[in-house]
Amino acid sequence: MEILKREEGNVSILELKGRLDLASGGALKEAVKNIFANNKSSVHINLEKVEFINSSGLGSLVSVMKEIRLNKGRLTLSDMESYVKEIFEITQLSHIFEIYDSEKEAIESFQTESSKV
Amino acid sequence: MSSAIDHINEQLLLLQSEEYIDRESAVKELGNYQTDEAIAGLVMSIEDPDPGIREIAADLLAKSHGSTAAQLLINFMGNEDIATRNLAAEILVKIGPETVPYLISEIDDEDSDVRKFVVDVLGLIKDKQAVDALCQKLWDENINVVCSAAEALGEIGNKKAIPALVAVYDKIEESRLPAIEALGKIGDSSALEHLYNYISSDDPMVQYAAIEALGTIGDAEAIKKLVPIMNSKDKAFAGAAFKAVVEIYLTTEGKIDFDIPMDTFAPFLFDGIKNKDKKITEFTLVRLKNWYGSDVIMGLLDVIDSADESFRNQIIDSLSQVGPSVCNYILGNFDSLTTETKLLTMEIFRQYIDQELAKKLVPLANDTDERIRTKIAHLLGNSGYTDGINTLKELAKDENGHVRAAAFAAIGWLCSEDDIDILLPGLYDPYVDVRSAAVGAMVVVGGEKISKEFYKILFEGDEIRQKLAIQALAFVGDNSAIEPLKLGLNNPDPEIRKSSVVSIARIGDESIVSSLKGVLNDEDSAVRKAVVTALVCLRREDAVEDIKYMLDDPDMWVVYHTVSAIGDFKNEDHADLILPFLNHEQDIVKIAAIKALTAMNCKRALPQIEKFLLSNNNDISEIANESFKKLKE
Repeated sequence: MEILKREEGNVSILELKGRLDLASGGALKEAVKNIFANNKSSVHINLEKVEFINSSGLGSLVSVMKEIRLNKGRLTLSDMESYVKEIFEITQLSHIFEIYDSEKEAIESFQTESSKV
Repeated sequence: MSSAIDHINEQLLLLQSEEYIDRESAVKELGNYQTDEAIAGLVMSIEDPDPGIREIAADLLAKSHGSTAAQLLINFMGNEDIATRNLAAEILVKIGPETVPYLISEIDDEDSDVRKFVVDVLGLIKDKQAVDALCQKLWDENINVVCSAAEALGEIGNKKAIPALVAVYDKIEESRLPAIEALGKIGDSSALEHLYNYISSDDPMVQYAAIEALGTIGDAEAIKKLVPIMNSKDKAFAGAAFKAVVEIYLTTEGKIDFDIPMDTFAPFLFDGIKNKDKKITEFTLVRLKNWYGSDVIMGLLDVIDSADESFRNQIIDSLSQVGPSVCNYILGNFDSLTTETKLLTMEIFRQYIDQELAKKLVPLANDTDERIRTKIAHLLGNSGYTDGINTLKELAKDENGHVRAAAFAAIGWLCSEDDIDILLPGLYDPYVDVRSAAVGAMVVVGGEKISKEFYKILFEGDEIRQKLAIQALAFVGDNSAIEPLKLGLNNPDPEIRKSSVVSIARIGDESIVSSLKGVLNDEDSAVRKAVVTALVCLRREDAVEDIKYMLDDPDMWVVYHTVSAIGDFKNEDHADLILPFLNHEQDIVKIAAIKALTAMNCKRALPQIEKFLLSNNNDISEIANESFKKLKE
């Protein structure tokens, strides 16, 4: 899996490409650790180009989310393909994650949040 | 022309008919004409015995915007029948400023009731043409007319009326309150000095009205006069002054040079929210930032049920910004909240959920409302509080299916592979949502043990659970799922075989290609089609070698699907496989072949595709036309 990192304002965006499974989950966790190392804790993951995700992939997302929460940060997800949506629905993980239809909406939600404080 | 006049005359006669239907159709017909006779007929109909006809006539007159209607309707201002008089006034208001000169012509009627009514209507029309006439009416011999004139001048809001209103205030005691109110509504700063004087009046009603008027004008200048009153011992005056300051704050969008003592006025603010005062509510919510004392939080929780929906959401939003400590306040008062508010505040819990908060939420799992129990299940699952599994086990036995589904899902988020026994009963729940939730939970847990459980289900389970197991194995998606899925390829149920093929393709394990090839001969065409897709997905272009045999499949749709799949590679090397299908007996297959050969840019197909341009089948000729153009380029 390829992980492309971009910044938009205070939000670090990770764009995942390929298969999110046991093999690639570690790389995702590592990418999030690097974000924290740069004193950032607002993370958005764009899943548009994720072709496949399995239990281990979900596990890595859950673990990343817990890590972000421990760091008082915030995680959003967006652009899920129908297959990815399906797995989030059956596992009801949509109750845990903040999911947006598009990256733009997710980034806007961070901006709204920061303007409130 | 004469026929139109005749027609109108006929309708006017019909207005006298005893039959409702005649009168109704006559009124509607008259509405199509703008002649004085037709309008007079409509005006006459506002006295029709039937309210439906009166209403139709009134609507048509309101749309007429003509002076004729206004002239005629003025005559009703003195009508003894109040309903008719009110209806005429309503129409005049709807016609609007055009009627003002006609109303002014009646403003000195000898009957004071008519004068008052005319003045009231002018106030409702709110046209500045009436200001001079209304200023004169401030000196009417009848006090009711005077008060109405002051009110009407306030409605019109033209500052030209200010000197007259000040003058009448000085001279006629009974006019003071409406005059002050009008000065406020006019909203011009030139009235401020007068209102400051009125605040010093001996009459508390006048003082109160002047304070309110200062708020209505909304000029920040007035704050300096209002601040001392806010400190008054008289709570009513202090409250009125504070409300006026709030209005000024909102009008000036916060541009006031004064730090409002929010804590002092907290009870007043919360009373305002409880009484659905929009301005107070809006002000309170805007100013909440940095104002999160415990009294404020408790106050907000107290008023949340009284607020309108949009304000309620803003309150929740404000509370959620207080920080995690707000959860303790909410929990401390949870029992006193309504169920709807409880559900809203639980969104705040979601934001701050951790193990500590989860511990405190456990008792709420016994709430009588199933929506709350459902949310508690989700919150416990989301918390990472593993001891919460015991509570979730209980909720998994709840009488309500939504609660059970939430509990199973949440167990999946918390438990490990060793706890899967807790999830297994969910697979046998009578409700499909609960079964799906249990499967989902097992997918989240994942791993070999879970795959083995699903493997067992493929042998022992009924058809429903076998399908769930196959779907779940695809989501588990690691190597441990491959063997059970292979087994699914031989299941007697074609649906399960197809699901197995799709699941294997999703996992993308090439080691299973040989097993998949074996299913190319499956008796069910949907399964064969799924295998074609799966092989293409797993082997990309190498799959052509495997699937080319499917071009001879007895099922037309399998052939169609295979032709399309090969075409998708856009490689002319495969053209020889496809060219024969331009002569296939089924048009749908011919279409697939034309598209595939075009995608391959196979110019050899041009002569044959050209022949299709004249096909009787429109679909073929259209596709052939597009393809022909592309291949010619």
